[in-house]
Amino acid sequence: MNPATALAFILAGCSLGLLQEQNRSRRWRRVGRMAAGTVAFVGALKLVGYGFGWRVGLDRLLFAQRLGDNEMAPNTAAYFLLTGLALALLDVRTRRGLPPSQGLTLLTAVGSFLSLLGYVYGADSLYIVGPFIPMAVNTAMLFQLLSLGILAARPGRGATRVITDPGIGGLSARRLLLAALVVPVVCGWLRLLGERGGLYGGEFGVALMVASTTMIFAAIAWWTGAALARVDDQRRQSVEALQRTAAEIHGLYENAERQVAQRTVELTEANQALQTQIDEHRRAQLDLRQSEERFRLLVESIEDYALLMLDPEGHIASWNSGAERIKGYREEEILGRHFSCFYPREDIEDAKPERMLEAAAAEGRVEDEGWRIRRDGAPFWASVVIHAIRDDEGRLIGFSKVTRDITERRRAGEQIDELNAQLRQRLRELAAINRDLEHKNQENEMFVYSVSHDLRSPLVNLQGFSNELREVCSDIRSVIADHSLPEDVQRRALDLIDKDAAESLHFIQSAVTRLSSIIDALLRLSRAGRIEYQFREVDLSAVVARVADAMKSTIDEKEAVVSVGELPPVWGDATAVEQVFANLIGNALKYLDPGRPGQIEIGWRGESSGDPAHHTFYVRDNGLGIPEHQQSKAFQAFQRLHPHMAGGEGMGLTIVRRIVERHGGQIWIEPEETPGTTFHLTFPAPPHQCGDALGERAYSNTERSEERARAISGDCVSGR
Amino acid sequence: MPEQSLVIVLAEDDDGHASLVQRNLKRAGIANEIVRLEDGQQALDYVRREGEHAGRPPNGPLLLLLDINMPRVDGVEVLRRIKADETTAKTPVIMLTTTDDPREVQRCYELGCSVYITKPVEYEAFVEAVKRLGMFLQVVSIPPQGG
Repeated sequence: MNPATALAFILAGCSLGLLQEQNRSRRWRRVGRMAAGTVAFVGALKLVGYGFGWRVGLDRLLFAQRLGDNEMAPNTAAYFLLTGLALALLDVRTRRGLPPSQGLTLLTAVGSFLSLLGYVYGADSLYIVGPFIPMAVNTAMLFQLLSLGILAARPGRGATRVITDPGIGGLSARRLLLAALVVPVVCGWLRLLGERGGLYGGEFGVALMVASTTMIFAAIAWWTGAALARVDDQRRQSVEALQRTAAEIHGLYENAERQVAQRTVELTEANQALQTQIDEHRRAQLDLRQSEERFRLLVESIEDYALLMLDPEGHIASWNSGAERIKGYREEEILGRHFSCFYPREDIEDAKPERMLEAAAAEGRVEDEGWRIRRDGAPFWASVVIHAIRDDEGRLIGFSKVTRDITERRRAGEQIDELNAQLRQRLRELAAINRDLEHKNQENEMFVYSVSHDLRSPLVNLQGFSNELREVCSDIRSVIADHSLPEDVQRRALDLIDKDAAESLHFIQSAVTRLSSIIDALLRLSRAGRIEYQFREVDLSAVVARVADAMKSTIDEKEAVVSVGELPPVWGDATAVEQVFANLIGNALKYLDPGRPGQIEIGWRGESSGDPAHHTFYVRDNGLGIPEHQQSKAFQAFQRLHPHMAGGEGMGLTIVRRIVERHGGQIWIEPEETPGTTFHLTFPAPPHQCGDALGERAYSNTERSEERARAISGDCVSGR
Repeated sequence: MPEQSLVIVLAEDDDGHASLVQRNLKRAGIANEIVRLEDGQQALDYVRREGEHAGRPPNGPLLLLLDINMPRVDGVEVLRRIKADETTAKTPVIMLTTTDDPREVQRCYELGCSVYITKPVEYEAFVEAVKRLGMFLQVVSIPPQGG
């Protein structure tokens, strides 16, 4: 090798090293480019020398003595030119196609490759150009290496980009390229070897080379294809996975978009709502201010109540005209003071104001009635309500206090209590008097009973023996008649018997009869009071019908008409009630006016006015009637208005009244315009209409009147 | 026969009442012996042949006329005891009394009296009742008292 060639190679190598991509220093790159230029110049100079026949060159300069005939070959020089240019233009890019350095380098590579092949196959025309000195084999190899290095210096551009491609392309390029470079050379060399060794002839050698080349390439192609297929599979899977992921992401993205849209809508709505709220709030605030103003006016206007606000410790925070009127303080002198100044001293010492506040704070409100003190020291009786006022979080922010002056009311209340006590006392006294009277009545009745009963015994004798006397007289008369006596003696005896004795006996007997009748009447009267009643619901209609039926003969005889209205049931003793109506109807029949047809009416007047527990009935006749001045005596015993008209002792009405009174009712004569008499009488209603068993047992009048008093006072509620 | 004929026993404390009964019975023609006693104890003694009347000779059937209001033992008590004792329970008893209290009447009938008559008595009806009762008793054989 020519020394200049060696030098040029050294320079080219240095240049290549300096122009690596990693080297960022501009200075070294410039040095590198200068080296490259020098190499190109050397080559160009030699070429020019060859062209003009000069023997110039770097080698001449440096190693003239030892050179002899050694010179740089022209192709070498050309290649140095190309290489130098390629190095210098290493960073020049083109938009499309091959970068210039790569093109130049490829030329160099191909050319040196051919030279190399020539050496391998012994075809010298490949490495000799004309008559000139040939390129040395090491030169060719070095050019190969250098080209490779230059191509490798910028692996990402142009042709090298395919080789360095990390994907399928790079893979296949690398494998095939290697094969393409090596296999044919080897096969050709093997063919030549075989041919030159005489192993086989020209056609055989070609066939062998072709076959081997074909097979090797086929195998390489298959191997590459398989590898490619694998890679491609992986790629496809990755792509699919990617697509799936992409789809997922797309889906998520759409979802997210939807959610976002939704959320946007929600937010918009929320925003609107918020806006509305803000508007409302503003309006509410306005209303609040207005109502606060109205409230303040209201509180101010109330004069009968003291309305104050206290702070949590009890100091007065607000005042109104009512407070001024009741307590006597003006607003400016009372604000800020503690409200205990209204309390009497003993309450202050007892810590009552503080206790009231504590109670109000604990239970929300506290009520009190008590003495309070006005500004001038005068006490008044107050009704006080204290409310605890809390904010939204429950913190105590103060108290409201409403005070009313109820001194008057208290006085009135005390008066009422006193009157009530007096009333109760009076009622008790009356009840006691009633009981007393009832006892006396009962005693009277017992007395009457026992007396009349005792009177019966002598009555028996009177009746009996007056009868005996009559018998005796009659016997004497027979004796006189039987015996023959002197006529005047007989007449005188008979006179004595028939006139004197008979008259005396007559009077005695009539008196005895009267006595008996009176005693009977007294006994009946006392029985009316004594006899025990059995109270139950009495069908009054049936009872009156029975009475009318029993008296039918008398009614028909007197040609009277008895009409009975609808009568509700009453509560009483059936026998006694029947007795009452029998007596009243009997009386009506007895004392009819002979001048007009008798009409007797029995009816119901409805509930007694004001007393839902009783019914009022009437028995009316159009008979002789009772003069007004004598009506008061009608119910008295032994009073008879028309003794000659009918028999009887005059006990009937007395007994009737006793019976009615024992039932808790009343009987009186009602004044009417028409002639005749109208009795009104009341009986109690059956208890289910009153919700209270007024007469489950035989009540005494006193007990019943007490019961009635209670009923009237409201314990008995009419359930009709 | 004296042992067999009916004896009327009248227990009445009032002499007047007793006399009236006796007169009326006699006037009506009843000839049976009438024994007048003055209170309930005597009545019991007589019927049972005890006490005051312990030694009395036994007699035939008895008819009792009892007043209620008597001293010592009253008529109702006599009635009860008579009717409670088997030997005397069949004796007919007529209550003759002033009391007309229905409860009293009820009680006497429950105790077993035959008739309850209130005084003053309607003697005609009373005598009739006695006669009939007597005839009834004569017909029905009653074991002799104290036999």
